[in-house]
Amino acid sequence: MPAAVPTPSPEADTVAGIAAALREDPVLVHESMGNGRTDEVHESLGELVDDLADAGLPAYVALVQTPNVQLASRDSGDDLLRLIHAELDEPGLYVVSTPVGQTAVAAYDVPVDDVLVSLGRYRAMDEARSGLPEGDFVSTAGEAAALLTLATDDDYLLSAGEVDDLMASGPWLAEYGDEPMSYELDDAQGEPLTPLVVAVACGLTALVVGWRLLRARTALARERRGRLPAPVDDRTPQQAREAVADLRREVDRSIRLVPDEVHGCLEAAERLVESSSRLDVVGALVLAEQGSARLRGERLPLRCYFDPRHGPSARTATVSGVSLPACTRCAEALASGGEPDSLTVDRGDRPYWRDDSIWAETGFGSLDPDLWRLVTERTR
Amino acid sequence: MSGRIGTDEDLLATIWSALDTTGVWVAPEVSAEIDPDELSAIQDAVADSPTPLYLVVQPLSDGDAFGGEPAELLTQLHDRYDADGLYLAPQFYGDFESLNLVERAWGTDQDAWDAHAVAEHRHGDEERDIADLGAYLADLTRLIADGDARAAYDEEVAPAREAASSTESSVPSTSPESSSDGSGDLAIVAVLGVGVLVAAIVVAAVRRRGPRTFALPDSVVSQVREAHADRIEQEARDLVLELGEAVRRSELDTDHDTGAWQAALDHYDAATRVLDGSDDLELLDAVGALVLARQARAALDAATSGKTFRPLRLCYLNPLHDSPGRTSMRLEQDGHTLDVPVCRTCRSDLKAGRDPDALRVERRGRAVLYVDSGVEPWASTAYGTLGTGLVGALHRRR
Amino acid sequence: MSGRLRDLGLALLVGVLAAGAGLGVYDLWRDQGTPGPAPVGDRVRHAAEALAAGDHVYVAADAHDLVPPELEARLEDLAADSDVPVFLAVWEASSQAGYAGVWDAVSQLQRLVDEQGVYVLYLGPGDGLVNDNLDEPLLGDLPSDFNGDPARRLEEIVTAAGQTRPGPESDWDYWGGPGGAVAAGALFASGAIAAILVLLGLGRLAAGRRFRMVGGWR
Repeated sequence: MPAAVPTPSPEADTVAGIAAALREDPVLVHESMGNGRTDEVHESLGELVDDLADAGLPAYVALVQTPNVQLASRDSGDDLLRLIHAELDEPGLYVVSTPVGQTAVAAYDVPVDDVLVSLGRYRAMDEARSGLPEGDFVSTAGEAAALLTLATDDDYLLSAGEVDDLMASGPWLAEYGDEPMSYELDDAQGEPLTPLVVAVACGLTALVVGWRLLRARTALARERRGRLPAPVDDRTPQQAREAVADLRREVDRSIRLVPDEVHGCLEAAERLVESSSRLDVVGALVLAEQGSARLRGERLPLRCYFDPRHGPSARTATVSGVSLPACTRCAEALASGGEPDSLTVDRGDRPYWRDDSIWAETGFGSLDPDLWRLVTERTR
Repeated sequence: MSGRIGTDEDLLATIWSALDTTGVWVAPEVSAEIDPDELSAIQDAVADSPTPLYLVVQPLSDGDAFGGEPAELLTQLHDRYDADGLYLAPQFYGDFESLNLVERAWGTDQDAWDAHAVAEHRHGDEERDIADLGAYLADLTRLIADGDARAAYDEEVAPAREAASSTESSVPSTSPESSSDGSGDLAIVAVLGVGVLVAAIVVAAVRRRGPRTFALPDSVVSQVREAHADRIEQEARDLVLELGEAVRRSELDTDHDTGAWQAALDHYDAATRVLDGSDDLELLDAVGALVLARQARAALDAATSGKTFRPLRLCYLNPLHDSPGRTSMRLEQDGHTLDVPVCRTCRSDLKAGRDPDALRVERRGRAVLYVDSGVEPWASTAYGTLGTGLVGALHRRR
Repeated sequence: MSGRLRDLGLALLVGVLAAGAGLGVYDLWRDQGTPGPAPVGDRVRHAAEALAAGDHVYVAADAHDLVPPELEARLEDLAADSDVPVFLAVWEASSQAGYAGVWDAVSQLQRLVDEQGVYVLYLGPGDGLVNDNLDEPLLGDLPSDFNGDPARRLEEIVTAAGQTRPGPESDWDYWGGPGGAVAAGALFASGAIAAILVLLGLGRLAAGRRFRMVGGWR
């Protein structure tokens, strides 16, 4: 539905109309010559004209659409200027331009050399254009501003600095830029569903990698926790002390000759039983057990290789091509390919058999029955 | 037609009066360029043309009523007089030699492109300047009228153009077809392919290694093996020592079964020889020594008790195990099946699918059963479990 | 079990955060690549304001000799009849009016008026532009001859625009719909996951640890 539009004031498109407008306001700027900021240009040119008027120099500026009059094709600006002056009939400096013509300047009955002003304008324009980026230029309004400024200049020349100041002082430069086409904007937007692809890709990747890392972290924590001493630990020192004490009593009470090995086991056990090292305490227990067995002439009991605290060995389990005595639990763990719950070193998570100790060498007696001898040798 | 041209209204009317009659208008300024016979040739061609043809030769200037554009002039003509057809107007740049043919068509699909190309080829030079305007226009109109512009183009112009383009430095005819898009897609595909390949390699590596089984470190394994061998060797030496004493004591008694006694001596001898072989015996040799010593013990017991010596039946998988039951077990190993005696523990282990405590040695990082180890005379005789006499085999070997 | 659930929750949270971050980065990258608009001069602005307010025809003050008020009213009626929105702006050609060229002026009008339709800019005999910014290609021919009588040419153009139809909405999608987009995302993710895990393993190798991490996928 068409909105109510006020009747637009028709812009003067006849010489008489232009002259009439100039009588009212010496600066006439049409929208087609307004450098995109017609009101600003009008105001700034007005200031320049006022400055000239203060200096006693009347000026008239007409930046207008092509009027409906036949103009000489080569000098349309000059032609129009002459027509306007003829119509307006006032002395002063005239600056006139249309979209298709050159900007024309002429002085009527005023002490201004319009030829020099015009030449000075060309030099100023060259100077201003040289510093501009590609695509920008000095608008006709800027040219008019230069002409007005030159009119009061002593030698009708503007230095480079003055040109720069002039260009910066008002809306004179035409910096229109490049408007992207609608399809260029659409292309830059990309496909409408690409955000979904991005979200799915990033989210899935983070989810899967994060899950894997978290599981690894949990497994690591579980391994660490699994190594904590089981309640079993609490009873081992006590068991060891009891076993050693029992053996001592048996040996003391024994009528028959006690073999050297038994003495060796007992002494070694007594030396280790109060040790702060958990492994030594377990070793004491094993030695006391071995001593009792030797005293009674029985076969030496074999304990689980992986953790002697688990108790006597139930079976010989094969792992990595070797056979080792193991309790039922450890044997089952090995059978399913997992790691058995091993006795760890005093400080750390390592199983004792990875270490470089006498206990690892002998497997707490499960590998080498002459445990007592080696222990005694080492501790001596 | 001569006479001063008034306003453009007059100009349009003047032009139309000529077009309406002959279909050709030549402005007075240009008439010097066209000979009378050329002009009549043009007019004949226009008359012959099946599609209505209008030729306007009128130089224009910037700033005139048409903005210097022949297209504007032709459209205004058509607007005013409503005559459909093909309108042609050369646009002059400066002189009458360099021109650009402007055409507009209403109500017809006819176009002058081929005809212009041929006529220009005939009458223009390398810089496309037309020396003889009249001849050019005559050929132009004649080609359109006769309708053979296309054929003439293929005949005259195309070969020349091809020859010219082939002698020129080769211009890449294929435009870089959205190369940025193409290389971008290629990069994506490459990255994906690499990703899939890597994933496949990783999966294959994991599969081959199998599920992560618990394994002892090599140092521990070798230590255990050594301790095992040492223990067996020690046991063998202790037993042989014991046997030695027993043999010396028994020598005093002559009431012996000579077969058993001889066997005892033979086995004792063999065990001693094996033990004397080195200070630190290999596992299988140590086992052999122990087996021989045990057989010697059994033989000695048989001899002292007056019984016949029957060699101890040993577990095939590990001769140090307890004695096997009477029934043999069928074992499959590397393709061949054997009926062998196995001890109770091994039998239950095998039945339960567990790994039995077999006698194994390390060969190239893997543990192999002693019968596959190639260590003689133990491997082929399986420590005597397969029937052949161990002592005999030993003698043959040594 | 609670450990697994907690890990799943954490992983989901990380996934959502990563998706958000990825979207943010993509948005930034996209905005960077989008060409910025050019400054709008007062000539184009006045035209855009009039057209956005509901008019279909805007004639600048200096173009009343080209398109007098009666012609303007006639064209307004013709344009109102059209199914496809038609917008016509008329002003005298000039290189000093705040826009670089006729394509820039039309693009700015399209951006400011913000409606899909056929935009016609007439700057004088032989000078003008017809351009549509519809998503789908227009069905029907649009003349673009601006020579000769403005009234006849403009009426021809506006009438022809009135007889065009917007093309059928194509359901073609680069990714093949939401399902295709999800599948593509999963495909990229699989490649990225494999690459990241391999890189992690290589990094661990370089640090002296095992290639594979403890734990598993369950």
